Amino acid sequence: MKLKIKFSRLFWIVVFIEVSLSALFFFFLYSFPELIQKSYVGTIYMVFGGILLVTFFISLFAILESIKIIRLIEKISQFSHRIAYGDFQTEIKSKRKDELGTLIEDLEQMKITLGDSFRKLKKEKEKTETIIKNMQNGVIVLDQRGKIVLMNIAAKRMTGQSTKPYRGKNYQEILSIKGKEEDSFDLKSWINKTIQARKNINLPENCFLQLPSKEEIAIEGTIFPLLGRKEGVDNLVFVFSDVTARREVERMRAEFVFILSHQLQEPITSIKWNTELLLENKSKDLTEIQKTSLGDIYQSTAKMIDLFNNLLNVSDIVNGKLSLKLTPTQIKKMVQEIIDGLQPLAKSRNIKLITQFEENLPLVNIDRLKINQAIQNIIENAICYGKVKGRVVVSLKKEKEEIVFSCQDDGIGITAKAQSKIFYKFFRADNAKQKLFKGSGLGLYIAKIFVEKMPGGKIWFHSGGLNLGSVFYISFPIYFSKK
Amino acid sequence: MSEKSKKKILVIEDNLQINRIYVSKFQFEGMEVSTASNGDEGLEKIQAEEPDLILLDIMLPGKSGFEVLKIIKENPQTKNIPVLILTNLSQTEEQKKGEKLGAEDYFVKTNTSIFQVVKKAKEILQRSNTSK
Repeated sequence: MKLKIKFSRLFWIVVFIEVSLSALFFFFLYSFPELIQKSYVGTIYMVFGGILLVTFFISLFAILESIKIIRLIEKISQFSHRIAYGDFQTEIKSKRKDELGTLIEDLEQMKITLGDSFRKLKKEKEKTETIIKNMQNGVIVLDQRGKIVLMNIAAKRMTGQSTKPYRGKNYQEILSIKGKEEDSFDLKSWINKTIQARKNINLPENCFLQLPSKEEIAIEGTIFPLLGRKEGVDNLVFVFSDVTARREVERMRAEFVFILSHQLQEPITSIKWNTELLLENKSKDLTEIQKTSLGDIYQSTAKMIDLFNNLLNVSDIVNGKLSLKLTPTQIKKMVQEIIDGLQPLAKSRNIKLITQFEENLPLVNIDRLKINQAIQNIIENAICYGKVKGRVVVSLKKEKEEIVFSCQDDGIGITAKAQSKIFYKFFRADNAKQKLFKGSGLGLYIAKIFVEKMPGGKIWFHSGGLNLGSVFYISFPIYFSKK
Repeated sequence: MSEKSKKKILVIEDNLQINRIYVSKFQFEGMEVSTASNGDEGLEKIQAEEPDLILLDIMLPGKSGFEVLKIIKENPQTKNIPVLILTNLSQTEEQKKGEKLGAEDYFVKTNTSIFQVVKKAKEILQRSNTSK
């Protein structure tokens, strides 16, 4: 930058007056020498000349000083420009001890501090970039118009875009995501949903990413917004992972369970029905011990069937084969039948099953088999984890537009730690394992999925904590016939 | 009870132990029972014996229970014979399929007691008796 010194208008006026007065002084000196020789005029004249000379030197000094200051300001300006462009090596030096000197010292200090922060930030940015770049999860960042601004290695690999430039492309050119059934998933609407909600949204289960080669990979993913300063969303980040291998293992496991349990169910049917016939005959040929043995066989078989049903249900859930057959149902009759079936189990643990059913409950629209299983699982848990010689209270009542089922026990309770996990697949709380070593960890998982699969179905629980018992609730909206 | 008024039940089921249970229970209840261990044998016996009720398994060697049910319901001579499906396939889809093909009811064997089966069979026979 070339040094350009601009003087103010006042400065030029002062110079003009100075020059004019000097010119006038010399003009009089040469034109009227006899007048000046008169003593008093001469004295005045000399004083005037002296003043003129002094002011001349003062002005000269002022001019030189301003040039210096202006040069320094120019230097400061250049210095700050360099810093603005990220050059923290630049220097500014001055030996001045005045205010300007202090300003320059402050600026130097500021440069050092800024430089440190800048380097730290840069390092952090590089670190984050390296992490994003090498993450196993795919990361795609979109701008407000849906154009891609960043895509990491995993995302490129998964979308089959490894060698192609992506910047500025619309996401729809690269991402083709489908649900399990054709057209059941639309990424655009999910993106809009995220923008509207301004919070993270997970993709639904069973999503597939279609590659340019038409090959499909199973994915799991989350879309989250990077919020702008105002109401808007600046960027959208889509993080996803390839779960094809895991889904395949799950599918195979479910298939294995399905085949195995069906092969086993045939002989179990034979055991169950034969035992039923023997028990029904109440044959006089049977001794008391034999009768007890038969009862035990029957109980064991019933338990085994229960376990199979749960395993099969999980296999259905994992395979996405869960479909509904909704029927308007009198839930009271259903719950009563479940309780009748569980009486022998309750008796064996000396637990009293108490029912509190409201009269004339309206119908609910549910899948009977599934809800039967869900309620059975919950009451069975209450019996298994309830206090021996305790009581389990099962109630049904109408609350506003819903029928609420509840099952209360006075057993081992649910610790605060376990409360967030009790509906997880295969989860068993520590106190539950201590109480009953064997258990599948499937009952509540299935109950929750089945209940929430019903239109308007809800399931929740309450427990004061360890050994304070627990209450499970299920509710369904009342069924109104369409007639 | 005269020979003629005895109700005839045909069981199409490949598990011989389960067949034995049906036979002893239904005979005890005063009904006539015959069994077939696969779909083709079952279809022949339907023609020959004209049963009043058919108990049908789904997972059978050869023709599946659904195929057998379809043939029964497509034949004008046999389409009015009530069919009760008894299987260990518990999925809703299969249940819906069975009902769509015209089965009277659908039972998952392990989830049902033999008495429930007998009760249902009697109900159906009672109904077809009064409607005749």
